[in-house]
Amino acid sequence: METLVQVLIIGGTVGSFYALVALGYTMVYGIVRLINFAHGDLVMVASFIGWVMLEQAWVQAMPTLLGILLAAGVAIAGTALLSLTLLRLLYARLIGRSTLGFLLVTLSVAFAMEEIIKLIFGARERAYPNYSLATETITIGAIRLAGMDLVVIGLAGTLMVGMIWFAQRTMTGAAMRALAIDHDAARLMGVNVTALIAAAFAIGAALAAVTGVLSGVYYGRISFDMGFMLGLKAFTAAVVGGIGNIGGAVLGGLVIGVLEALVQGYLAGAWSDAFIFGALILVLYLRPQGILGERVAVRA
Amino acid sequence: MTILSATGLHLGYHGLAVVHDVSFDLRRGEVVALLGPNGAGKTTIMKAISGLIRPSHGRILLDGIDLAGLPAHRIVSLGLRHVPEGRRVFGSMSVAENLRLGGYTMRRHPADIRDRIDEVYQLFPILGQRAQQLAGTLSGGEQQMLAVGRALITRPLVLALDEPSLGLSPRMSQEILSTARRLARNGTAVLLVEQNIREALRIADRAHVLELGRIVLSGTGADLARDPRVEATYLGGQSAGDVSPGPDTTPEEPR
Repeated sequence: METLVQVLIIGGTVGSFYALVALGYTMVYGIVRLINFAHGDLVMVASFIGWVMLEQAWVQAMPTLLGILLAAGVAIAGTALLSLTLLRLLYARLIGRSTLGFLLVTLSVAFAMEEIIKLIFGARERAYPNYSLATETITIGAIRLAGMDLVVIGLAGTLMVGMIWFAQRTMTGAAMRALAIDHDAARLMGVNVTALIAAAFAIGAALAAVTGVLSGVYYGRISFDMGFMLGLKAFTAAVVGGIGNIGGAVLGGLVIGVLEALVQGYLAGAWSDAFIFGALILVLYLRPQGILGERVAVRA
Repeated sequence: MTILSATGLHLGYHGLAVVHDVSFDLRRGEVVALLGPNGAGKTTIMKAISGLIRPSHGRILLDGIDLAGLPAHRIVSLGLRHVPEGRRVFGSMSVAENLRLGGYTMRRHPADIRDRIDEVYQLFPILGQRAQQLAGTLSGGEQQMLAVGRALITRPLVLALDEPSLGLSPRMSQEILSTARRLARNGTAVLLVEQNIREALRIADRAHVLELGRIVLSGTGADLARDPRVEATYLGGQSAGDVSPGPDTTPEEPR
């Protein structure tokens, strides 16, 4: 029982990371029906921006929490700006013109970002500063919880609830859902498609940046190749949950995270990827539209 | 007062010309119908007016403003609402949400949107009863009311209705078209594309008949309803084969 709770907590933490990244895939897909394969590597870029900030002496002189918040803020702004620049310069002209072109260009950008970070920072891992919170534990009865797990779940949970609120309750969120259903009808409501595509890229990048800095603090180590597999699993989470659906991305992320933790906790760590992608195949076999996805009629 | 004018419109898709040199105008308080068989270019004209496609030639003025090159969302803000063929309501969203999205360009004024939604519920009480229901579960007629109601949230100067009676029962078609007539009387100019020509001519002040992308006949609704060529070709007259083309008509197979 104790182990199960601990495993579920770890699963919730990892799942929260997947979910935050999955939101970026799903928002962009909902609007343009394309997958931005560079999205996972934005997490990596953000974690390096955060690391550079946290290495500065004047940041280290600040109170710990303030320093982390500042580093996260700079990472969010930098990553969002990077994503919008890539959209403007490289992606925008391909959207609606070449699905394969978009796929290949985003994939190329993903590898380019990895190589550039490797050139600047080298191939070895970089360590985030040690924070006392990262080793803090809370004991409830026989269950020992890591403080960091609770921080990640709390923060990511707030962001996820916030995103669901955004999608369901705000006009911009409603417009994004409308675009996912029927592009032209949404345009006839006065929705500016170009602006909303940019909003989806920026919000997705911001969530990826939070994931990058948070995972740096959580795991303590970052490296140039950390983003791709994370991105692939988050993409899997988005598809399992029902791509294009914001609640689905959250659910899919948590499902994949918990599944991974269960396999690692009770079977063997080496098998977890097999189970994750096996789950993808199973879900798509049983429910091609994903758990929360709607059977979207072919658009005219 | 002319609120919308189209001059010398040439339209097409991917270089394939569909509409050739079409001109018409629309005055405040008026219903103008565009009639004609499938493929005549009526829907294409509607799409050009609302900015979904760009004219290859020609000029569209809305309340004196040239719409050339403006994206669809700007044209909505300027006061033209296009209710597309097939209604295109957001099926997995509630009726209330569809109406709220209709006020997207007024999103800085949510209280006004709520008031306008209440006005739509007064116009179409059934929508008020079904406010929380998913739009996809409504009947065809109710969906059409929703599509029209959604456009009325911004109190448009021009309402462009594309085939509003398509697939509806005769009673429901009449109700929708009478609503269009009533809206025009209250000052909204209505541009109407209809297959149901008899009903369209009943409510239209003026009408243009299109064939193969050209206007072949124009006149008041009442005149066209009596016109033997319209009678023969579209209103189920007996001697369609004997129709002599009008002065500005290109000789064609009647269909």
